[in-house]
Amino acid sequence: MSSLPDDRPTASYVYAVCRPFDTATLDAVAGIGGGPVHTVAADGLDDLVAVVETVPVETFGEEALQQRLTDPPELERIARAHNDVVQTVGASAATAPLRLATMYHDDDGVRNVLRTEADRLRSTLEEVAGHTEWSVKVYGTVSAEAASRAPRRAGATGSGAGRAYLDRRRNERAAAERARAELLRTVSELDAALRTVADQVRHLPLRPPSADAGSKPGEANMLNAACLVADERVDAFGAELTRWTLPGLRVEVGGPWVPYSFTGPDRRETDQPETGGSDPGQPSATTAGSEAPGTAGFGGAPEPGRLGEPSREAAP
Amino acid sequence: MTQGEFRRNPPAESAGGGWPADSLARRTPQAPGGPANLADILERVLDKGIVIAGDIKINLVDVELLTIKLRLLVASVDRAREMGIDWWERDPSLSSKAADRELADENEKLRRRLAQRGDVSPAAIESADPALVEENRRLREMLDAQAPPDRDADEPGEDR
Repeated sequence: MSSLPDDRPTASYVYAVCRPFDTATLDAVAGIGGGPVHTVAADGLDDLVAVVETVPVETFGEEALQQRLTDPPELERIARAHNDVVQTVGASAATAPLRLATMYHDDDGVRNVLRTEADRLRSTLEEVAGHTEWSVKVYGTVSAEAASRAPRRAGATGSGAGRAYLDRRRNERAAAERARAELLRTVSELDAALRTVADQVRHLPLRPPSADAGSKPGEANMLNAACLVADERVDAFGAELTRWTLPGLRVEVGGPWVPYSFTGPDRRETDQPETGGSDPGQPSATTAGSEAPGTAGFGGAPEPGRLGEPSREAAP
Repeated sequence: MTQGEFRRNPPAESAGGGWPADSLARRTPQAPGGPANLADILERVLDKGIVIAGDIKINLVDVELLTIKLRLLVASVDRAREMGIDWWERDPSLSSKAADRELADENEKLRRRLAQRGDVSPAAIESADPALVEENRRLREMLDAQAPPDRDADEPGEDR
């Protein structure tokens, strides 16, 4: 274990592994501990460097960091700082981000892992070099207009009005369901179109409105995709997306991101999230989406999770 | 910063909807400290990226649970259903309080109609499993759609 100039013991926090780059770009960046970020290379490996911050164990050691990560404001600060470093490096070199909170006792530990993981790291960098990740979220709205396209019986009064009302409600519901099915078909076409301009498309979890700063009232997130796009195809990708500005659909594109979603294991594509099935603190149906802003939402009836075989597809 | 602020993170620069998609190539990687959507960031830094065993073990499962509790991240739509978040199926037109009232009114009328058919007592419907009531309603609607009953059978007093 190394130490800071003031003799406090330290650890090495690793942000990413990348190809060698001009480290001057790191001068303007502060890491999760507020300190400078440096690169670590291993002897004999001239094509891989790790991006590292030396952090005090006292405040970023195992227990301390674990504690910090469960404090929402601190989690946000650390996640943003982590991402800032990764994105800065990604602007200069092919970059494979590491999962948040990957730490070693010292830089020798980092060198060691560069050697032992060299093959995997190289092939990952090979895959993402010359590519960026773009987030494409599609929100659908079943408009009141679409829902009211149902036939309406005019002039119903007296004893027939109750029935007319019920008919109208039923027709409206059916029309809304048809409109939603139509939107979902369009979204799956959009998804297929993305695959013609992106090297890879992965579906990320859909966002309920309560978890999504980007959603608007009445909208449902119907697609949350990460797209790996070659640099020379970014224009074509953007052009393809402009074709999908259709009534009832809102397409939101974010990026460029360092290819986070294409450097990790594929477990998310096929496996249950590891948080599944055992969380006793899940929010309940009645509170979901109905809380006033500012409530953190720790409430909710305990309900044992059920393990299923979830489809990752946004649209049936 | 409060937890409320944590949830209501400003959306990404791109999140307003008015993005010039044809100029994506001119976009630069999200500037450090920029306003990128926190949920987008957490989704990536907690879930994605290369996993390499470190010397120092941090358990991110707890952190993911926290974010779920905070509803910053919720897993797939199927998981959301399991968790009882039915936003996917919920008709947006029913989401406002006004629509809720309208629906409640309609349910009341339906209960009375069902009671008058002599099939199910209002009390039984009150105490029944909501899912069963809903299914019952759908079945009746399907039945009605196939063979509309005589309009005159509607009792007076049900007018709106």
